[in-house]
Amino acid sequence: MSVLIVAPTKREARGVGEKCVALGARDKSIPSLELAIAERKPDTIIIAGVCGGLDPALKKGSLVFARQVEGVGTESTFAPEKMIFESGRRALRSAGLSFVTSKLVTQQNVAVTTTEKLALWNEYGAAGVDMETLPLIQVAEKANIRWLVLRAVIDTASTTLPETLSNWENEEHERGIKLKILQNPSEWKKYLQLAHGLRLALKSLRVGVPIIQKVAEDTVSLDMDILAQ
Amino acid sequence: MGVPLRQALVVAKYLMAQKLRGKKRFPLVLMLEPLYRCNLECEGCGKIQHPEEILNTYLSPEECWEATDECGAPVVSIAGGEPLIHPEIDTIVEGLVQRKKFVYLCTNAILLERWLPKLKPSPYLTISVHMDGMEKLHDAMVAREGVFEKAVKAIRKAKDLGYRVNTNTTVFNDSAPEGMRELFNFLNDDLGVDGMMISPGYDYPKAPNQKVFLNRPEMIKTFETILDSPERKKWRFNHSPIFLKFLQGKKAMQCTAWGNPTRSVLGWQRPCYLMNESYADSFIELMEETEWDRYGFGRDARCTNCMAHCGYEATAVGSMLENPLEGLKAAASTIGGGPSK
Repeated sequence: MSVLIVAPTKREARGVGEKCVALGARDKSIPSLELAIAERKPDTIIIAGVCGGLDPALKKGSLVFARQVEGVGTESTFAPEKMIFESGRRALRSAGLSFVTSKLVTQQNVAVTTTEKLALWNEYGAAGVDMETLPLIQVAEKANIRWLVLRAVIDTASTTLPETLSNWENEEHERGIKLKILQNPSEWKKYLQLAHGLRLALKSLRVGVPIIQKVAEDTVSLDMDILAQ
Repeated sequence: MGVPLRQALVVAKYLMAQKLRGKKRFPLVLMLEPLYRCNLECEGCGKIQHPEEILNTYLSPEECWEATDECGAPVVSIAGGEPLIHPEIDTIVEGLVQRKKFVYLCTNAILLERWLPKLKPSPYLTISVHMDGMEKLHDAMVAREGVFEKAVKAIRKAKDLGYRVNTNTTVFNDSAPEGMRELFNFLNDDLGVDGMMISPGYDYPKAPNQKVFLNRPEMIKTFETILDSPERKKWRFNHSPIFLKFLQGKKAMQCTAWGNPTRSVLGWQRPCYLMNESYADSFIELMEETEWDRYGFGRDARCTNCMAHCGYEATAVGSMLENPLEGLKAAASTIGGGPSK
């Protein structure tokens, strides 16, 4: 079974491993994924990356294996194919990794404050929040390709992120933010903490993604005629 | 205000010991269900819908004590079913008190007056009476007229005899905030109970009336309104302030299902007091072979509308340990429970 591993940013893709494709900025990510699907014709797409922690029990680097993905302010909810998801869960557990199977919520902006994170937690009960997963799943669903999502927590529910991050959209437009950081030493500590979170999150993904990848490679869809291959 | 100093100190010592031993998961309160039989069929209860042979099965005093020793939690909450139907409940309680466990004997109080002469007041024993509202609401929720009056009479008598008495209130969608405030004023000021417990009802699939349950946003709104009252300061709640903040949606917490392990007539219930997915033969098996990370808000659909104290109070206590300053503040406002009246 062929597997396509994608991540929203180059930073995340590099962290996950060389097989991971960076999809680029939000407006580019959908055509990038469509192109990758057309070129590689995968049976499964693994969406990997980092997320903000909403579940207060999660620490930096904890893995969230999404059992459901929902969009903030939308009615859209998606769940992965049960069989492959359960196989993935069992494989992660057998490997002794620290992970939860929970909901993931996608919104348009970075959840910066603890108040915002608390509101998302109370409303959605999602373990993590990101900005990209939902539209990527919609592409996979449209192409009738099964998918799995593995995210790692970069900042915990009790962490307030630097204010300058509230305007973050993608890594291609980070120059303005970098300038603001330089001008604002009071935020340096928070960025150092975030860098530490990123290191732990990518470390977890490097271990977790290959496990999920192996499961995806080994799991045959029920509607697939293996003998005809 | 609602937790006696002796209990708070013992629990604090126990928690520190667990922490020093580096234990990641440990029990705080043993939920002991020596029987499922009940003399009521409350609208929101999903505990008692069992076949007759199970309803006729009771844990012996020895089995109760063995479970308590096996578990090691400093607090034991005897629930059910109605514990006062158990013919040896006085023996069970006596054995637990001898073990210096803080016992919460949960009851609807219908049979309480009959048992009071046989039980013995002790700093280790708290009688916890189920009170879901003032007369009209309470009798409607327990689906039997006259229960409120009987419970009030029994509470007064228990207080007169020197027992420590708490109440346990479950909040449903019929629990109007003003009605709840009236109830708490009555329990606190008129009856002078030593502590009050509150919890939103868990949406048991087997409960007779499925319309009584609140969903999570409704729970938060209801508790915000109930607790946002000037009278709140005088109410003696038997909860940590962190748990009360959680109920009002002001504090993010995840469930600690292993904090209140449940031993019933069917074994050690997995994963928690409210959900019975399977049963373990021993406490160690329960703790070591349960996939705890699979359960909790967001992780399991059945936990979506659960904010019950049996899952979250242990989290609140745990967070006090992680943040000593917050813990000290919480302790200052929770400890103190000498007799109130």
